[in-house]
Amino acid sequence: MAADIDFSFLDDPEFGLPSYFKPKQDPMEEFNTLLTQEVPPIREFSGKDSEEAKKLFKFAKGTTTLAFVFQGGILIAVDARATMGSFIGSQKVKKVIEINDYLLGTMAGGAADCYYWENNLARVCKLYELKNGERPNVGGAAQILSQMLGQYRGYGLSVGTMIAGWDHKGPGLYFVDNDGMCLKGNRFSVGSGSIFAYGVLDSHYRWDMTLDEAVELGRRAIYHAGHRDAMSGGVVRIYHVHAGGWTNIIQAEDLMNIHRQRDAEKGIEFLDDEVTFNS
Amino acid sequence: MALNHTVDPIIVGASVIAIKYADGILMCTDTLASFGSMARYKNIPRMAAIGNSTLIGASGEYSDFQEIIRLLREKEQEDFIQHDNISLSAAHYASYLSSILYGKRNKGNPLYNSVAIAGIINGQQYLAYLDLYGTHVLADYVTTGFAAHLCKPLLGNDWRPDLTESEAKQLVEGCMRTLWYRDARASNRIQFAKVTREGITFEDPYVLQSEWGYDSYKTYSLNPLYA
Amino acid sequence: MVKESKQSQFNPYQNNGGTVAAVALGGRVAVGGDTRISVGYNIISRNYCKITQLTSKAVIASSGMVTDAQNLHKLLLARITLYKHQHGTEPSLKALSKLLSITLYSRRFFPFYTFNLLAGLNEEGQGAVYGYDAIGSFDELKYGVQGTGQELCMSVLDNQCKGANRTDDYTFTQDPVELIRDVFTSCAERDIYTGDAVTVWDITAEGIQQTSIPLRRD
Repeated sequence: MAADIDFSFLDDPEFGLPSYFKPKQDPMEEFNTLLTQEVPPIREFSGKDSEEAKKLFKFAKGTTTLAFVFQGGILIAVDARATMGSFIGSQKVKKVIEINDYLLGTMAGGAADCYYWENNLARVCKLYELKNGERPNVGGAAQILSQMLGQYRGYGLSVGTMIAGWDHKGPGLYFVDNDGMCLKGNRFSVGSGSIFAYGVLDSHYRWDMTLDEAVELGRRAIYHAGHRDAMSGGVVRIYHVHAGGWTNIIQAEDLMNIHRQRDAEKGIEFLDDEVTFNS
Repeated sequence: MALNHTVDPIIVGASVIAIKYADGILMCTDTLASFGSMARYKNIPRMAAIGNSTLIGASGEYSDFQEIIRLLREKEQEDFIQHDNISLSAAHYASYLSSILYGKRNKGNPLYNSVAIAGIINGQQYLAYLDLYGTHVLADYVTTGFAAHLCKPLLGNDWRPDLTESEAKQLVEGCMRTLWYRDARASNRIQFAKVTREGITFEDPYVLQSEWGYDSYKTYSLNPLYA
Repeated sequence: MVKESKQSQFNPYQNNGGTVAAVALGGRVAVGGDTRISVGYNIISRNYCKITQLTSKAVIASSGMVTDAQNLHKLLLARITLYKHQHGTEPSLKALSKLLSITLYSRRFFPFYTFNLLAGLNEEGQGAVYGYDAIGSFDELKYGVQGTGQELCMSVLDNQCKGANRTDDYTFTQDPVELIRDVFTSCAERDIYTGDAVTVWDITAEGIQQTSIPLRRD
């Protein structure tokens, strides 16, 4: 008789464990399978190689990007300079990545890293939409991006991005970086010029700004960052996120134009005595 | 980590010189493989034939050179058993070897050689230079190792596409002699090989004529007392 | 244990130098590349072409490390062949621009040491240039230059193509092929890794014309 009893349950490694002891199913499993497709393989680099490699590739680093939430939605302002060491690679980089019709991402850190992963985010968001019949909310999208970057934590990705969009809860602004950090906030600035931008932003920010005032604030913050940070500059680009999606308000305004405008307003002319001599 | 990685070449061959001339390609090496500063193997071949129209010569790690020959001969066998009257040319072997070298460098485990591959393709000379990264460059004359410094100018001065065989030989021998005088890892025992439309010919190695009896050789010294 | 530290001694990268440049004007784009490649101070070839034709109206020009460039070009040609078989047409310039970007990014953690320009005619028949960094960040440009002579050439092109830093009223109407030649002759005067010759590919609706002129060989 004993031979008829099925003892195979004894082989179950989780037999006898209380149910709460069993490993939870990974809530992100579905995404993780999506994410692992067509993602660059990780190659283990020995220490010296990666140091050498870093010397060889001077990737674009310096930047000023900022975004803030105000009464009329979210305003995003960025500069457009790409530097490789002391060489200005470009003054017309598009540092606002149009992820899709309802999400924008900004670019600070490695240009290729931001571009690739935010594009990857667009792909995942589209799949989510096709599967669930509705778009992920902004926080969800930011969380997905931070999960993706978190998987590559420690491998030298360089990303500092703000994800901005509008969902059923209204405006959403998040900061995501290459360590996998994801923060919600009302005011962010990222990049080498952010310290200057924050100064302008924090002292002049008001919740009840009109759109025009907000644009002027963003423009001014980028101008000051471009003026004081050698690695920022070029042109300023401004986007507005609102209930209907986003609008590109300033496509490209040369920072030198703003500079001349401000000098004219202050009655400053460039004179020889602006140059100081040591003698 | 893996023990089979060549990170430091051990037994090394010095320069290879290969030049195009009117009827084909002439290649020359010395027959020495050094172990550090020791002249360890004084009579080994540093050129090999692959099939009947491809000649390969290499400087650098000797064991890696032997591995290259094994890989190319394996490919030749593969091609031979097709029995289709089509045989791989020097360009094919060069391209194949370039991919191998590139793949190995990607793994951080390179084949430590600079290689000259010569052949005749449809009656035309083909001469390529390959290195441990997989760089694949075509040239009228190829120099590897120290010859890239000492002999390139000599070849640059005197090389012509219409050199006769004896002129070519004289030119290359002059280069090899220069190496023997000034490259501490070179040997005076050298070997010629050529590829022509008729096929590959290896000559027997011989010892270069050299002259060390000049006064400047005998008395030259940094010490002014002996100048 | 000793082996591990030794393993890292092999540096898989090398800069072979050289400069590539491209200028688009209307329905035309001129792409140039010098033909010198070097290792350190040693010139290993004086007639190496850094430009590869990808489709009937697009080429890629790469500087940086020759072996990576060769293998990148090979990979792209294979992907393009697959595309042709699948779609029955050549990929557009825009498709190529994205293909190159993701191909470069696929090696994010062991990059192709190449700095690329993709140039050709887009679907409207207009000349366009795309500039890339080593890991796939790219931008559409009117003109671009990459490689060891980048710093020297860029400001000249800014001045000639965009009219930057000029006081006169200026529009760019010069023959782009001529401009590329001038830029390279100047570059060869001041960059040791640029010289020997420049090959210029002139891409128009009629097809691709290739010419080359000698540069300084010292």
